[in-house]
Amino acid sequence: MTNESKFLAGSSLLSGDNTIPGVSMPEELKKLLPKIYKSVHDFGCDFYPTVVEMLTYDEISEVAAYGGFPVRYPHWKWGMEYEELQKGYMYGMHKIYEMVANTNPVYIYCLDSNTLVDNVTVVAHALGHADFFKNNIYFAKTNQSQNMINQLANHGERIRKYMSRWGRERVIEFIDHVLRIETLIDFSKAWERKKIKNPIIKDEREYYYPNRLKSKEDHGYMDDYLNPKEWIDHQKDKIEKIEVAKYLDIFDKPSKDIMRFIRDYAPLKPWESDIVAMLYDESMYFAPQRLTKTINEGFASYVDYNIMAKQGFSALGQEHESSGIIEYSHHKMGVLGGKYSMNPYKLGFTLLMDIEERWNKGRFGNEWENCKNLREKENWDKNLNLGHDKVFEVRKFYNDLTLLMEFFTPEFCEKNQFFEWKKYPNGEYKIENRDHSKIKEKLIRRHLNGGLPEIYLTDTNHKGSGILFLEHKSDGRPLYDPYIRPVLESLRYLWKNDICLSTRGTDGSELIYTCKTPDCIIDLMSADQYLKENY
Amino acid sequence: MPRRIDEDHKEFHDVYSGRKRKELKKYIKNGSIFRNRGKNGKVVLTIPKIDIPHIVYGDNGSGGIGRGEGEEGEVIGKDEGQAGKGKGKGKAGDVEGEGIDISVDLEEVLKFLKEELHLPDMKPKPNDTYEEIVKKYNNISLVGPESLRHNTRTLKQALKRQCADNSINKLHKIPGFKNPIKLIVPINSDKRYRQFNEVKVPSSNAVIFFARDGSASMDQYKCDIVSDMCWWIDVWIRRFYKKVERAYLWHDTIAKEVDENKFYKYRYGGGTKCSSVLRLASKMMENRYNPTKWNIYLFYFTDGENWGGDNEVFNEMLQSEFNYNNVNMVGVTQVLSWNYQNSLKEYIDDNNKNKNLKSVQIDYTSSNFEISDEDRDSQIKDAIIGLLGNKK
Repeated sequence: MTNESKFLAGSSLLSGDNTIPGVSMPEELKKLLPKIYKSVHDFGCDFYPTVVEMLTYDEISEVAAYGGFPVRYPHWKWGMEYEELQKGYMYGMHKIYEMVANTNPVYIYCLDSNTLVDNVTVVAHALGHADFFKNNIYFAKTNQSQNMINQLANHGERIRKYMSRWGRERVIEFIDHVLRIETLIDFSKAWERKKIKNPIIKDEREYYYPNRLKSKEDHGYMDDYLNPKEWIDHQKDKIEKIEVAKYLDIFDKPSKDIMRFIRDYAPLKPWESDIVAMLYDESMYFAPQRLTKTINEGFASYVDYNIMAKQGFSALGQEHESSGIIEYSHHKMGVLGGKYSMNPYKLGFTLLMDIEERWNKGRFGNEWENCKNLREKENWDKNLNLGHDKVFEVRKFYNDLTLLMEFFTPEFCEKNQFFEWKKYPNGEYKIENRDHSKIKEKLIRRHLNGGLPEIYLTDTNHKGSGILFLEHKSDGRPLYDPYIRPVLESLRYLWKNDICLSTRGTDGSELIYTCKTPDCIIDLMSADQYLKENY
Repeated sequence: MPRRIDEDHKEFHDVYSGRKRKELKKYIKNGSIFRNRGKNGKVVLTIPKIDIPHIVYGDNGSGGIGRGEGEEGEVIGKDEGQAGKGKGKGKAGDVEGEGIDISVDLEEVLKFLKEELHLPDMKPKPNDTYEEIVKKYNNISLVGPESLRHNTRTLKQALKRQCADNSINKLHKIPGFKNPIKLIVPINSDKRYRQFNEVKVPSSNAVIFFARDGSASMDQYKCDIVSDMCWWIDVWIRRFYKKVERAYLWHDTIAKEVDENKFYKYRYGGGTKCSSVLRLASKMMENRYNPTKWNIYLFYFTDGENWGGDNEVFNEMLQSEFNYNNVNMVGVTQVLSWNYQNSLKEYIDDNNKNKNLKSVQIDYTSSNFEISDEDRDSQIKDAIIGLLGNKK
């Protein structure tokens, strides 16, 4: 079924949206497209149908500003992104080569001022992304329910409606508040399939009744004496308290999904909770991209490297056979960064190349691990040729974190000359060490929880008065103070009650931020002081 | 075709300029704008970066991972901006790090200055002896050179005449036109010419005397305050006059005219005789800046210390020679490091009859000998309001 995917070159405009006129596709590229498609497919990739669009830089930066979907809701943050891209291009600091949107069909946007070699590279690279989107398990959910571009367009339309109904500024202000908490989600939930709740509602509550002593038969008149009214009332009060506590205890265990909690339980107006729900869905949709940035870029680079350099596609459409490869190398060098750099493209690409080499030569398993002879290890080659399959397996089952955990070996670290640097007060950056375990720890920390602090919602009814109590699971790194304050203010605005956040300072002592109604004053105090003031 | 991004882009600019305006107001309100000198008609401000805040980890710039060759302990790069930056001027540059430098037009800053600090416009002297004669072509005459002929008036006059004698209805045959047409033909008596009149306008020349005490007690710190104030006063006054000249006067026991650089830097351990500078200024007014032609501003900066008996002379000169008839404004600023029994300002305030004399005081008698930056800024702000504002 999936192998019947069609290849559409420069076809229709984005569904229902005319903001992107596009540029006509150059003939030479048009001729090459089916060839690229076929060889990428033969290489083992499997993707949804693809649409290639040619855009001018102005248009591509518009698409990029909207994160690949030019149908998003109106907000100034897209304008900010756009300005940054435009300025960067104007001053020659950076340039977008391509954009890929994770939808079905996949949209690939090429820049019209690119040379032919660049554009062929871009298409091969983007097809790598398309394959990753379809096959990686972390993206498995994202395109199942419906075409995301339509969903995002629906969101945009709904928000526009709310704007015309409730006032643009009011809605934008509310969106600003919601956007601040958009990272407070549980990334693992993005992997879950959407469950439709069982429509049959069963009453699963436990009912409590007051204990009654039983009187003997024919001694019914004793009942009032055995179970006096005060005693029954006393028990009823107790039961009511238990039931209320149960009802209030919505979260029985700490959860990272604070945004979802706000969506479900915050006292919001209908249009407000609709906006929160939409933004929650969008946030969940983009969550896998945060978790798989390195491996995604690495895999796409791996694909275009194989297509362009190994299969010789760089020579297509060139006058001389060798002229394309130089241009391709130049392009690749620009993407993979220069001296001392550590960008995700390079890390992912080298890791995958290393995996391919290891599995080609059989450098894995017990035998390899237990071998102590260095010379033997150096010349280890079993000619297994499993590299290609292994890389495709990795692209299916791994994300950044697991990739680094499993394949960032001491040999890899040494071969690629990783080091840890430190900045000194006089402004000098020095190489600190080349210790594998320390470097690995740092890299893994950077990718834990998508590189964001883990904030748990531990108590929804703190002090019995509906205060949200958040806890930062600290690993020694302090939070960025100037940003905590506006985020807490926004949470308070949405929850309409006090917020507490507990974190740890650089010295390990517990600190508590409190955001108090109604003035929204944020205090920072130590845990002892907090206990003294509140209990 | 309008694009969707244009709308968002415009909205971002609104957010941005709103933020800019807010920051500018903040800068003016706490006075820190006054330590910021403009360059080429622009003032550089640091505004916080516009971003959507999320809960993130704090600054991790002190360490990281890289790859490449090199021994342990080898220097792989250097931050130019941070090393070797001392304390002193340019404090505004290295605030808090996170932020973007933007340049704002000086004109815009002055507009905000006017709104925030309620500064009134400077007015030229009202007396008609200071008037300047300007030629303005605002009249019509019957004779004149052809180059000054007023074509509209001439044609109107011809039309009137032709309507009166009914020759307007006559049709003329003109080569190039198919049908005969009506024509307006002026004759000599219809011709009108532009004619100038001499108009008196208030003079727009101004001279600012910046005068300061150069004795040893004016240390570098006070000089900085003086120079910051001078720069902003200068900018403010220049806004209202076409041509502004500045004269820098410096004195210890005798006064002399110096150039701008020397004025801010020159120090000499000598005595103090404040009246000497007024004598020099009045001499310059006689010779170069005639009060009938120039709007004159005098700003005098001192630390309040003066030789015994000179306060009386100083005040008398202010009352007699720098009074309402001669000068637009006299401002005396006293940068005080400790309290004198009878400082210059006190004496002037007690014996002042001059309407356009204003005196302000910047006080830094604190225990630490140097006041904090915020205090300094707000005091400078108050001093500038005191000098240029409406309040007496």
